[in-house]
Amino acid sequence: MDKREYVTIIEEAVLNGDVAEIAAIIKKKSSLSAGTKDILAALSGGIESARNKLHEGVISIPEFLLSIDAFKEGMSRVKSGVAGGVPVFIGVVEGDVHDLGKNIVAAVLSASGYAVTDMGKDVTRDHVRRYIDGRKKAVVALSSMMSTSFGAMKEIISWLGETAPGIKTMVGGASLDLKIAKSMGADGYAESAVTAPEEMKRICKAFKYNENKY
Amino acid sequence: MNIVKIFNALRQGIVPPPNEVPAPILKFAASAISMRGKISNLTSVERTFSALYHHEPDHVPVTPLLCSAARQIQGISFPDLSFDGEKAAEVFYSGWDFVGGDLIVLMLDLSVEAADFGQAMEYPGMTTARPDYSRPVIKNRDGYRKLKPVKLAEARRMQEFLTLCRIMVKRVGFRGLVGGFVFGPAGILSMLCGAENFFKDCLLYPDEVRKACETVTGVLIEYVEAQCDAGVPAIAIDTLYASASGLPKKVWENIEGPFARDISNAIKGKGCMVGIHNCGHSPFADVQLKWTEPDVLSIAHLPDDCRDIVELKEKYGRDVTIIGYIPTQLLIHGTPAEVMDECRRQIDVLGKGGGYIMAPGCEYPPNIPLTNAFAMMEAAKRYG
Repeated sequence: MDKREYVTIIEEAVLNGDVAEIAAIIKKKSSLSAGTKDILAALSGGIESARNKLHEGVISIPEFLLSIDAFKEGMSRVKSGVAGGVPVFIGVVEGDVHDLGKNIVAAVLSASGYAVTDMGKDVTRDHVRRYIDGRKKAVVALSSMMSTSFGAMKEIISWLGETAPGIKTMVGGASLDLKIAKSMGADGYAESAVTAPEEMKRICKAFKYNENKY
Repeated sequence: MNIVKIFNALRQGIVPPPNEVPAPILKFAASAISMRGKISNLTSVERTFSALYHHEPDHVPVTPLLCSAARQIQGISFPDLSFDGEKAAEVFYSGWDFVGGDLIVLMLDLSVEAADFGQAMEYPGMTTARPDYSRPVIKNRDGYRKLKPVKLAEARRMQEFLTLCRIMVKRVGFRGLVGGFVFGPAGILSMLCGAENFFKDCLLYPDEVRKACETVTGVLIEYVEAQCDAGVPAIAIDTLYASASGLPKKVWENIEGPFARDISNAIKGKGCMVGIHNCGHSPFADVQLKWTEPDVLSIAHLPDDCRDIVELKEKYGRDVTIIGYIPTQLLIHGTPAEVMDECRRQIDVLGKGGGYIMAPGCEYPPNIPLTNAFAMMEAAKRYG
């Protein structure tokens, strides 16, 4: 098996959500010329391909979740020594525990090169403060499926605007739309996991975050 | 035709199970009501029946689906709403009394059945009850086969819901239609193991998931029959995962479709009407209709096979009455004028020839002012 073939197998295993195949193929790495960088590119290529197919309606959310599992399995085996991208802190806002969408967006952003930290669910302003830990530049991504969390979401965004203006915010979730996101003062709005990387890229560009310099 | 059942209902002052009356009689009655609606105001029940049998009433019927948002009227807490059928009835009744509406759907929250299947729950003060996903009932593949049925008589939250049904049906009487509600087996299972795990398990271990669906459905059939016995003339089955937000179409047909049909048949067996509620994106209306043959389809988004609202009416408007689909986001953020504009747009297309009940796509957002619910009511009167 040459390097090209090896990389293709990884991409396809991610696309097919085949966790066992990913684990097996990455173990073979030592006998091949493929390096960590190649594997990471293949993993990202696989999840990107899955994301596109989700966008086109070719695969469904459950199939995409299996792709994410395969992607995570691969990342867990090669993660050490990988430089991070723009730090992204993602969580479901206080008052809501529906984290399916958040988990998908976290995986997609991670695959797109962002250094994603999962803050979990039922996230309060205090949680966010502890996670950003004095950082000057980062993106806080907040989601909620319930309209009942709007107050808490708005509070976190306002607080970040006042105390950490370098930290930008992106919001998403079933009960939100662009208009509501703007009214809350968010810097960006992702309609779905499919559009999240593009929106994150737009935020980084608008606020002159160098995606390769973290 | 079960004359005893119809007579008993009428004697109690409640709406009889509609499907106990032969369809030709109902259709004739709906036509006559519709004619009368052209010269005088109809009652809520007349208006809704006319629409349900695809005749234009005096104006389109409305259900603002206030549900837990109506707790704001009397300051009843979310936990009381979940645990106390009498207080829940106060909430639904005061919402209907205050804002109005022709149809009242008794949707408490989606966790009623899961809680009775033993799922650990959280009951926050300012939002609806929800599962504690750190303590799932189904922890792994084997958990689906191990799931045990619950006895309806000992199911606390379902019993409180039945109390809610009984009180509301009696209290509203002939002044409106009161509909019951049940979460489908797939939705309940997703609450017992977390949606993410459930979705993956449907692909990886379909036989196990189906087995658990069978267990849950047995209880749900008893539950919907008890709702019918409590006097509700119609019940909505929530088949959320038959949508692009859930399972692939074929997987849904394999996992939940047959069980949704069994629940639907149990409701019909009691002479009641069946509604399908699905607030997912791009709902699979075709397969939901195929499996459950409902009277009513309540949606928040256009079905996956409809490009626009005109196609929705053309494709499904003949077979079912459409309920919906004022967007939740618009209710939260829009002005009353914007809400009324959207209502008018929908009424113009969906209201033609009856077969339409105006409603939000999903329940009215629980913590926002009720102003836009009034806007919907006003729009129905002005443009309907």
